[in-house]
Order: sequence, then structure tokens, then C-alpha cells
Amino acid sequence: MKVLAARMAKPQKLEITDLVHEFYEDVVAFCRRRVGEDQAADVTQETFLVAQRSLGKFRGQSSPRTWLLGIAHNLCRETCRKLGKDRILAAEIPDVGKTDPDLVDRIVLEEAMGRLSEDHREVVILHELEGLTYEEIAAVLNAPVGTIKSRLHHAFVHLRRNLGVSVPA
Amino acid sequence: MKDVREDLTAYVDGELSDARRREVEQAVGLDPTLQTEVTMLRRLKKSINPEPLPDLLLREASMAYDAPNPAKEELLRKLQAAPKPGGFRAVLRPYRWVAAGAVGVAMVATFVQMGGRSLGESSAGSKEVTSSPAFVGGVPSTMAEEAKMETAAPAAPGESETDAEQNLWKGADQARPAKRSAPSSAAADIPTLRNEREVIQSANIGVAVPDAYKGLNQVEAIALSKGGYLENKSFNRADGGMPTASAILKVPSAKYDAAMQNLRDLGEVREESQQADDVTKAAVAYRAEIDQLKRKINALDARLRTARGSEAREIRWRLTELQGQLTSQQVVSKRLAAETAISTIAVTLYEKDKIKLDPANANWSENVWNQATNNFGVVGRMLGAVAVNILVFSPIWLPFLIVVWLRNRTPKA
Repeated sequence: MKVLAARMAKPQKLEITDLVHEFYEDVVAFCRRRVGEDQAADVTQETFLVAQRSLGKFRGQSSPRTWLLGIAHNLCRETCRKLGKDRILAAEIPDVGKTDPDLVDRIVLEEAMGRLSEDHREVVILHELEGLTYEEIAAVLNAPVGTIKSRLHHAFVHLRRNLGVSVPA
Repeated sequence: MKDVREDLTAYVDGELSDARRREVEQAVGLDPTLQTEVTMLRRLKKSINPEPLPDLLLREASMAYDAPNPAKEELLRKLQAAPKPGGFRAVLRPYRWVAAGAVGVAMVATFVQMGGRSLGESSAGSKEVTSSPAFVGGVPSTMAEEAKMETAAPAAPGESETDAEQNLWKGADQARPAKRSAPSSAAADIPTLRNEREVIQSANIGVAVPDAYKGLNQVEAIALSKGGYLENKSFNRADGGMPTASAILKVPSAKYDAAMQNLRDLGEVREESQQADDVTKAAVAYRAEIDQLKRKINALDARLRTARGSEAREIRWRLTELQGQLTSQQVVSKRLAAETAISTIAVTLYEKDKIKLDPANANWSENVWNQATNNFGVVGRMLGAVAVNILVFSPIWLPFLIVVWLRNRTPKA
């Protein structure tokens, strides 16, 4: 992490191998949710190859992770288009093995998230599961921050409705 | 004020501005329903991601470093085998300002070079304008040059000029010292000089007139007014084409300039060219030959009066021969004199389009086209010159470029 932090000071000196070590798993997880297990490794590999070619263009305006996820997002869309299938956007809730009575049941939640629209599900996954800030989501999806904020608000309204919770108007 | 509920998600996520966060906080504190909603949202979010994100990331990261991942290893091998990121362009990127500066300097140098040359050309051109047209103040340029040479470095009598030419200059002897002492007055002397030289003048002129047929009559009137005549004239009205007329004028050389000016005044001059053939030397040579023959004939006549027998016969035979030569020389000399006395002007008259466009609009497309093609040529030449400059300076920048490329080619450890 120190190496990356040092390189971040001079963005043009970023090495692609450092990015692989740091973010490979994040990118794989990101791709897996969108194109499935079969294509995830290939799309991830393509993501880093594209990143290597475009490394000189990276100005450090966003974090390297956001930048990589942005590339992966575009490649996932392209892959789905080529394969002629819809994006999966699997909302798999991490199984932490705990049974906290205060939490919503994982299966019920996954089912409720599955019924969200693609746009809503995407922002929820990006924010809640992939840990991106509103600004980072905006960078990945190439959309204004205000749109992301509004989309998340409506996503949670719909999610609560899907879970059978009444939402005040 | 914006509905607080719309900002509850952002409030829970800590994505609100300080001012808005305080407003929402205040509203939530006062409204139990909002408090319930916030609690529910937090619970829902915790349900989606039960473990705090930083811990999860750290755990995944440590797992990633610990456990070998074949796909990741393969990717790293591929990336290391792949060409340097960005290729040659990336290598050049840090030096792009240097390269841009070099190209800019090359362009400026080229521009200055071309500008200087074109300036030189234009100044040479303007020099030519004063000296190169067939006539300068109505005098052939060669003669103007000759006059200048005369004023600058006059030849000593008998040194380079023939006797006959010296005779020619006799009449102008009074003027010559003045020319010699005041070279700048050469131009003023040119008309005089022209009158002294024997020149066969001819010209072609094309004029656009409102009515070609009427124009032809005007041309004839000009010829007559100058004491000349029309050698021939023709009028043509081709189907679908504009009528044209042509004529050949013969005017006394003394009225040549006036006739040309009158022709120009007929309408819009489309083309004009003038030629002048200086036949002074030939004319002078013929006259000298005639004088010599006359002298010889006179001398033989004198001898014939006293000669007897075979001598007288021989003198007569010789006289006959010389008189034949004299006649021949006189004919040629007269013909030359006639040619120099009369100037020939070929006139072509074009009839302007009856439905005439506004001149500015009529020429607009042509002007724009000419300007554009001209600019295209200029830019093309400039780019070509830049390319040549870059090529010529390659011994300077190419080694530098190679060193940079070699230095960046090897991946750093």
C-alpha cells in the first residue's frame, strides 16, 4: 500500500503490476456480479490490459480503483452486448455466518434486491457491496452525483416496499 | 425547502454537505417517524453488508497476497510481456512540449524563410514591373536598360559602337552629355530615345464591351482618327455564345500609344500584350550600306567620264552591279521604315453578358475559389517545408529521440 501511495503522488509513475496486486480481487468481484463467473476472469484480464494501455492518460483525478472499475463497467456492458444477454447484476449478500435477529434475512433481502430495476440495483451494489462513494459511483457510471443520490434514495424506497415495509409518502 | 425524506439515504451514508446534514439532523430529532425511518435504513444497509467494509477489504487484500491465484499470475505475466504502457507515444509524452516547441520553431523558421523569399520575390517583382513590361513609359524595356547603361557607362566613340550607330547618335549628341552627367534623368530621356530608335511595334488587346458590333465601328473610328486603317475586321455570333468581334488596326507608330489608350477606354480590358522589335541596328546598317554604294557609284561615274575602251566597259558593268545592289538595299530599307512607321494592333471585342450580375457577387465565388486554392497551396508548401526542415534537422533531434526511447524502453526494476 505504501508503494501505491508513493506512486499516487506521481500518477504518471503508476505501475500496472501494483494495480493488479491492489485491485485484482475487487475487479474480479465487480465483473463476477455483472457478467457471471464464466466471463469474470477474462473481463478482468481485459480490464487490466486496457488499463495498461491507458495508464498514461490516468491523471489521478479519481482513485485508481474507481478508474479500474469504470473500465471494467464498460467492458462488462460490451461483453454482455456481444454475448447478447442482459447484465446479471447479482446482488449476493455476503454470508458472514451470523444470525443477528435485527438484520433482514439474507435470502429475503437478495430476493427483494433482485426485484429492483437494473439502475437501482446497480447503485445499491456499487455503494453497499462495492463500497464506492457517491462521487466514485458517478465516475464509474459517468453520471452526475445528484443523479446517483436520487437513484439511491429511490432504490431504498423500492427495496423497503419489496420487503413489505410501508414507506411514508 | 427540499423534502428531508429524499435526503435520508444520503444522510445515513454521510454524503450530505455540512449545512444540509445539520438541517436533516434537526428535522430527524424533532420527528419520531423520521427517526424510525433512519433506524430502518441503517438496519437495511447493515443487512446488505453485514461486515464493515474496511475490515472486509483488508481481509480480502491479505488473502490476495497470501493465496496464489493462477489467473492473477497469468495476467501479471501478460502485462509484463506486453509493450511498455502507451507505447512510443507514452515515451514521448513527457517530451511533448519540447517536440511541440521544436515543431513551432521549425514552422516559424519556415514561415520566416518563405516570407523573406516571397518578400524578395515581390520586391524583385516590383523591380520587374518598372523594367520588364514591354514598354516603360512607352519604351521597350530593353531600350530602357540600354539607356541606363548608356548613362552609367557610356562607350567611347568608335570603341564599341559602329560608325553607323555613331552617326545615329550625332543628332542626339547635345542630349548625351546631359544624360551622362545626370543618370537619374534617364527615364525622362526615354521618350526622346524611343523616337531615335526604330522599333516595330505590335500589340494584342481584348476588351469587353456592351455591344461587340458597335465596338467594332468604334475601333474603326479610332484607327481612322489616328490616321490609320483597319486591315481586317470580323464579327461572330456563335449559337449560345456571346458575340465577339476582332479587327487588326494599322496606326502610325507616333499615334500608337494614343490608339492603345482609346482602345482601353472602350470597355473593360480582359487581356493585353505588347511587343516591340528594335530594328535600329539593321536599319542603320542598311542606310550605311546605301550611302557606301552611292559613294562608290558616284566615284565610278566620275571615273567613267574619263575612261576609255575596256576600262569604260568594266566601269559600266561594275556600275550596273552596284546599282542593282543599291536598289535592293533601298527596297529593304524602305520596307523596314514602313514597318517601323506603322504599328499593328490586334483587337478582340467580347460582348458582356446582357443580364449582368452585380460585379461583386459575380466575382465572389471566383475570388473565394482562387483565394482558397491559393491558401491551400500556401499551406501545402508550408507543411512540406516544415517536413523538409524536420528531416534536415533530424541529425539533431533523432539521436535525442533514440536516447529517450532507449531509456524508457527497459522497464524499471
